[in-house]
Amino acid sequence: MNAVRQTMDPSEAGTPPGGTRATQVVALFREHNAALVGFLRARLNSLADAQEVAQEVYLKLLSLDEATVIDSPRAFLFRAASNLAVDRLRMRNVRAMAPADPDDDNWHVTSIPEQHTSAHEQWRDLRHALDELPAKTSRAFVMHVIEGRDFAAIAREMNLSERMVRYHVGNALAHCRERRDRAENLS
Amino acid sequence: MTTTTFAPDRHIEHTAADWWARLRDPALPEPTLLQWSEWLEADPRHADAFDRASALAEAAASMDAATRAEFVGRFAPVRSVRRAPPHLAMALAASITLVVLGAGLFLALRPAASDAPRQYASERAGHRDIDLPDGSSIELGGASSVTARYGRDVRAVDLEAGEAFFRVAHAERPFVVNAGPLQIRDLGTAFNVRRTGDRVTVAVTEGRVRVSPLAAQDDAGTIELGAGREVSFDPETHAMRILDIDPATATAWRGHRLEFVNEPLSSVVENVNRYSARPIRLTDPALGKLTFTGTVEVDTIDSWVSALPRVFPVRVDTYPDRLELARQTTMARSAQPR
Repeated sequence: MNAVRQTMDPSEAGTPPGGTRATQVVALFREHNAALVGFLRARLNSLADAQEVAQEVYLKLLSLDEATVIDSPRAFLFRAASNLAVDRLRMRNVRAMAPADPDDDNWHVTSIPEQHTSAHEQWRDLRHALDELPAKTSRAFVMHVIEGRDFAAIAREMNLSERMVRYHVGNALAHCRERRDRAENLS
Repeated sequence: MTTTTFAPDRHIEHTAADWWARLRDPALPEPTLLQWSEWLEADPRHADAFDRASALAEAAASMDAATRAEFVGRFAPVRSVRRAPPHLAMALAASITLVVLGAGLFLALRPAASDAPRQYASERAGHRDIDLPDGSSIELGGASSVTARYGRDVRAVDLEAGEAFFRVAHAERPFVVNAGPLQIRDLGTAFNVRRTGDRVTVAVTEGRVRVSPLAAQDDAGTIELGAGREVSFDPETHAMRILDIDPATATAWRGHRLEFVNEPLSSVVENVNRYSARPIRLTDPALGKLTFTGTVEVDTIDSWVSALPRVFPVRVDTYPDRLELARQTTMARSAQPR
């Protein structure tokens, strides 16, 4: 939800008011921005990058010729986002920069100050949560999310299908999230 | 309204995490992306759960180098010998852990002690019969999944979602079903477990089971249940409600009928959706609090839905890809499209 708040509204992006393209983009933003940013957030594993790329998507749409007919605007939106995300990941690899800015995550932010956990504790809790999982599940999660390796590489190494790798990663994430929620609600 | 802040819906959280993982796949087909946006936009809680899952993944990805090395070493060590016999390696690792930490149920539950976990899932509206290596069997309802993790000391099965009927072969190792907040320990028996997020119902058709809430310390809250009895765990109140039942009712789904007694409509809809070709959605979460008692024939879900306005203050909106239940009222809908 906070994704919506922080993203620039393309209706303010200096496009001629009343243009049909602009109207279309504004409608897309209203209806699907959360899904777009969420998609990009997962692809890029960074909310800040997701918001930036989402803006690039809207700008790209706005710059299209008025004569270009878009059959399915929503599909077009995701296609454009997919392509821009690939570019962004490539750029990131070239720069070999850190996966995400630690200030952007709200992992350690909770509503009640007393619940603030130190970095040490948060990693300890994550380790405990992963300990509770079957070995394959925690392994796939660590390889993908922490090491940043893609599903195909993990599938080869673990001798599993990519689909199973994805399944393990999702399960581990759900479990760790659940543990984290429980800790937050009990403390 | 709902109390999502303090009791996040496990089912939604699980689906959110699953979506996160699916969206990571660079080759995701376009129709799936459209399904994604439909899921996210269907309920504000979806976006919330997704944000939370994403935040955790982002944090994990940005851990400092030393912590990262520690996690990789612990959970994803580089295997120097590619073709090491996995069972031997695992057994060795397990026995070392046993020596270091001492034996316990927790370790017994770890798959390293014996076979690799096996995962089974059924399609929507599908049924699946599973024969386990020890002679026990599981019958899976629609859109349901279980993972069998047989260890040296215990036969553990996780019910991740949906419904399953267990027929347990006698053996020394106990047979344990983990269904979210509940653990069901078989004492020689056949029983049915239905899991809708954290709402879990256990019905015994033969023998006895012992049902324990995971949150409780020791044996507090543990209930022993005989044939013809059912216990349901309410995630909001954490209450365990025990009912006398007709065993045939609890396992009616095996004959393509779903039977509900005083079940919240949200849970009913989730269960029916395990069979419905077109998912049913509640546009107003308050509707989910209505309770439903009755039978749903899985072959005629649409007609069940169209009859709902006769018993509930709802209106049915039919779309090609879904059915929506909206609150039927002359007043405006409660003003909180958050």
